[in-house]
Amino acid sequence: MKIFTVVITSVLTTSLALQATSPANAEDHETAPATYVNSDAKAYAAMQKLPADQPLHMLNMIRFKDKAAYKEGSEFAAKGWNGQQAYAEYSRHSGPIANRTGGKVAYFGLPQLTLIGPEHEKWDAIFIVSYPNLASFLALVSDPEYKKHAFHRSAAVADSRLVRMAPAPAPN
Amino acid sequence: MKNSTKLLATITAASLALISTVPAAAEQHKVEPTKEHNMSSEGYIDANPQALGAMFMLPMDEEIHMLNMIQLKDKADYPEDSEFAAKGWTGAQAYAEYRRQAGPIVARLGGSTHYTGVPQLTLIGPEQEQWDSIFIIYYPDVTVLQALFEDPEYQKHAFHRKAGVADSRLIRMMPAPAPK
Repeated sequence: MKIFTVVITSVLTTSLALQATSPANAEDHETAPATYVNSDAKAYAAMQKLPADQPLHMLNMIRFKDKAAYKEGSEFAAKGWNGQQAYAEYSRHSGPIANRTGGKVAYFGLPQLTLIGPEHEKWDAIFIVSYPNLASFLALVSDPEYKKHAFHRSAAVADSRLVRMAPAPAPN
Repeated sequence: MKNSTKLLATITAASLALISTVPAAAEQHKVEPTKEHNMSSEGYIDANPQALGAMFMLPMDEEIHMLNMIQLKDKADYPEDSEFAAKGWTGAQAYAEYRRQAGPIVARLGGSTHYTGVPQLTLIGPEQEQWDSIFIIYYPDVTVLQALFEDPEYQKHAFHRKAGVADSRLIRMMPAPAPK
């Protein structure tokens, strides 16, 4: 439990986490629906109540920005990438690290249409990554190489969801 | 194209559809929701007719994966005069009844459950968006989905879904290999 707390603390300080825990535009209902890019600190704390030794399936839902938002002066700002290109760059770096820590893509789908849901919820990529246990996931997001490249994700993503699931056998 | 038009007509008329397309809550960010409408109209339960219309722009003959995300009501919400109102079911029980009835129909038509997950926690997203059930259903093509919505047995039991579901998402996806 002690180790776990330490890991959680270090995750909280990673670049994946937490520029803001509530949506940047939450106060701004009238102009734009809320969007979510970074993880929620409270949710990370709530992870402590979930089993650490069981397999995890992380459902990712991503909408890309039309134009990648790199900081001015960043070497990438001049490339003129779209969000998808920035996300591909993120995946190119994070994929091998995830593989090394035990992550595997368990499902990949190309979203075509939201039939039930808010009109502004339009996704470009939906995929599930499996991890053998919580430590495997945390090893990814606290990895120094991962953290170094996580800014590509922030540059790429307009809106996202990340849902921790336990895998379950399909009912017949 | 003619088939598509027929599809729209049937889907639009189907029981899955369409009591209201805009949740009351979406219009009410700064207003206390009225109690009577609170339970049934905060979330997204029924399909959006515009989205059903947009299905035409998509291929009719390709395999599809429908991602379902379901948040259940604490207490099932049946019409007062329904025989089920007296049962005191939870939303989970009502939804289980829906799947018990719909499952064999889906299977008969050629659909199958491709993936089932047990949601535990939303790490990125609105705090209130906590799902109880997430699964993916495979259909050989969209006409099978049409046949499901049209099926009289399906329509007869679809009210269990409405009684059980507080909020939901339904997303059509194309199955794809994971990129390298």
